[in-house]
Amino acid sequence: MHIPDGYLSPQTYAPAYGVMIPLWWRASAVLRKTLRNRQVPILALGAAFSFVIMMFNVPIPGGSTGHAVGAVLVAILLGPWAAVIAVTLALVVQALVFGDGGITAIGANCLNMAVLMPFAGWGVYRLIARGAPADSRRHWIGAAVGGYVGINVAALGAAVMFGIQPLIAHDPAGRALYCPFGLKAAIPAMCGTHLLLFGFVEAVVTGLVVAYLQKVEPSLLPARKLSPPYQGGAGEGSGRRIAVIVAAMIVLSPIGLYLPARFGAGSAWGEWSADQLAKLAGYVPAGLRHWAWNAPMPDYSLPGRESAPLGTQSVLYVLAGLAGVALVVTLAYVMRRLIWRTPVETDSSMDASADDT
Amino acid sequence: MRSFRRGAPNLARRAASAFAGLLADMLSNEKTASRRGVLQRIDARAKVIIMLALIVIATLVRSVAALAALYAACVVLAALSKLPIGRLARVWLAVPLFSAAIVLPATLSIVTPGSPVFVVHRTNPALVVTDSGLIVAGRFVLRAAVCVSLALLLTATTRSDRLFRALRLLGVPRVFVMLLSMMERYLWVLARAAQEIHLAKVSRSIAPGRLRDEQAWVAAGMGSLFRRTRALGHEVYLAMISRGYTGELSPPYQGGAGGGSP
Amino acid sequence: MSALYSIENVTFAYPGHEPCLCDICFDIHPGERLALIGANGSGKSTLLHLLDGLYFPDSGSIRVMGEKLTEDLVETPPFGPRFRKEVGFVFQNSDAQLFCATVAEELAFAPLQLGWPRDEIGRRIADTLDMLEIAHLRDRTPQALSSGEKKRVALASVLVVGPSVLLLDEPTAGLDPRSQSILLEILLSLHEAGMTIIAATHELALLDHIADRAIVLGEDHRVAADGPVYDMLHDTDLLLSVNLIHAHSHSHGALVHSHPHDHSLAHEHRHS
Repeated sequence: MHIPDGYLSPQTYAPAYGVMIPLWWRASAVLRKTLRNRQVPILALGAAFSFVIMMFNVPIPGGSTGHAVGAVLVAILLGPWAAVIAVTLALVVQALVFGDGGITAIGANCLNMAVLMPFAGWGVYRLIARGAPADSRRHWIGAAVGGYVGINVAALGAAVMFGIQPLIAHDPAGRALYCPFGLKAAIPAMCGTHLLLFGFVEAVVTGLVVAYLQKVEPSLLPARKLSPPYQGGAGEGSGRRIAVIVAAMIVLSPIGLYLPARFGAGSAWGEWSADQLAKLAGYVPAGLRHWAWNAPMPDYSLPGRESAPLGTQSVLYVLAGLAGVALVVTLAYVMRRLIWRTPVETDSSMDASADDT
Repeated sequence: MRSFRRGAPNLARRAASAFAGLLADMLSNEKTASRRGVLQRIDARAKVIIMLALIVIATLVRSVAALAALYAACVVLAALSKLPIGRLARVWLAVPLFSAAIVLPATLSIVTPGSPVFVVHRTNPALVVTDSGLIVAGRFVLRAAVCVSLALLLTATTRSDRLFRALRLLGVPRVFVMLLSMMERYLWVLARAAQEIHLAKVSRSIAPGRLRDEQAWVAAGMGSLFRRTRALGHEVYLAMISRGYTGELSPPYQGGAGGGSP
Repeated sequence: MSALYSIENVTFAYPGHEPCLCDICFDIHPGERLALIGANGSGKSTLLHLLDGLYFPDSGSIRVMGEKLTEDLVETPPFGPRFRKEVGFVFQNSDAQLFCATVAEELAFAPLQLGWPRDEIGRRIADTLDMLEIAHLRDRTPQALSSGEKKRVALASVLVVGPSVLLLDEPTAGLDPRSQSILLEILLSLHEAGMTIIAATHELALLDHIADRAIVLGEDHRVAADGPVYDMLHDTDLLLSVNLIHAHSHSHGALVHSHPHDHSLAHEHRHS
């Protein structure tokens, strides 16, 4: 998931820094207020912890091992803003101390792994575990689902970053300058592997660690005073209604793919124009829209399009749509924090821990 | 992903040695940074600016020839800075090879159309490698190689605390620099703790357990590492308070031999 | 001689835990060498934290330098900085105590926080490093040192501001014999220069090297005894009752006898 240097164009990595800088600033402001004097030691050690858990080998079926990012875990244990800083520091140290590269990509990597992932995952955890007593199952279940959603949101973010490279950066002859694979390849490749494999590794790790801590030292889990998710806005009922509508939209979106194929519109699959699709389904997947505008360019035929069965592509679209919704919800949450400056909840897990003599 | 055949002790042992490797890398950085080579002599602040500028330039350059020349320059600089081949090869070879593997399909005509160079498989339509495909792939691999080499040259020839302090020039706030610095030091402590956790497992395991048990064990390791982290973080805070810390960080002290950059 | 510290009916519990100190009362006089002894978990480390103004009693009070020690008092000048300068605490875990990039920086931390001028700081660092014979470690990374060196650096980082009271939590834990003896010598010379030394330990072998007076904390978290070290060490019933020594049995042929046994003290075999 760590994007190295040279994979992204300056048109991508520079704006990523631009987006991250206010987020880093906001994170420091929030943490300085909540943690006060303890900010420095807690964050420094939280960052070291984030780094080290990325190195743990997690056994997976088939006899191999994988690694987890752990950003959602850190968000659950220390809070999402602390996770932003901790994961950022871990990524910076990885680049600047271990020479693993990815220096220009730090902004982009932070966007995926230090912002999207922790906030999305933590948001899901909160949705599930809100108000539950410390020994309730909802905590580790929420953690596991949060881990799964979080890493997939991050994977989608990375996939989009990769996939737009051929579109936005090519030489006069039309050849890609950076990552040569477009969205049609990047999204299934990244999202597919994370939905089917890495997501579960992350879920297992996040859920099991929270379960362990629930048993051994429940006071470490945050027992916050929780405020309603949408201040002054819709209550629980309308929230559920909106969710149903959005879910229906996502499920129905592949119809726009089936109908033209059934009626033989367009010579090869995928070569529809955007307005044709809009007429048929009322919904054009964003990736397809980009792609369709540039259809005349010879670059943008992508491997595998002829061979992938329609069914598989549709499934992936639905899943990508779900991830997209999670993305939007996350961004909305983040914007709410930044723009509307909702008061930060007190986090009692940060208080002086009860150490033994 | 690596596979294991003999099970739990092997897994834990390899993980323990991964952490030992981390510690060794940090030590070797200190060692290489103190050798009397060309790059080590350059002040950390100048080096950070120059190397970062070069990396950005490498991401802007389009010509394959220019990238190849930059790569050659990196090799020369590494030799002049007395950097050991073995340590570098892991990053210097691994990243280009990995990038090459990823980008291989882009050489084919279905990704990058152009004049065919040679035919891979005579199907209809034939799978051919195109000239444009080779250029795109070559550019990609070379660029990744140059960027990671430059980054490694920077990190292996500069002491990390000086490197972090030089970041101030780029506008990184003092708090972040202090956090980076402290985090790196405690990485040492936590990596050792993680190593101990795995070695304790090695000494207790005979046969591989069920997958679920093994996963639970890894999670317990992370959980206990977190508890240690929390406790240590709190203790560090108390130690700082005990020596007069009130929440405001004074600029770091440099005096006498080995002072260097602000 | 007026008391340096007055501890009156102090009770303390960590949030959400059972009390670890109950109704503790004693005084400490300037220039004393005091040992807090007790089994693990008896609260001696916590008591040191209370004496350093890191935690505060739930009930009762601690008076130091004429003032009652409270959170507000210790955070505000002029008492706050003066207290931090006068009282130094060497933690049990050197990894927690050493958090700077080099040994020199570590020593500079406290004076910088107290606002000392830089040339003064430079001189004090050099003097302290020489006193503890660790000048050769000046530019090293503290985390990479051996445990004996770390302990000396930790001690140096506390001594550099010239405290008059030194609190030590298990000072010889984890140290090899030579480092231990070096440390004990340093403590002895500090005491001869007038420093008040308060050390928490469960190692009875050290007691007469580092202290003249001992306060024994029982497993009930109360003061079990308070008196000269010599008396404490030879009161085997007391030591047994607070779990500082154990009784064991062994056999000589057909004879079996048991006696209280601490491996560091000479003991008598009485065959019954």
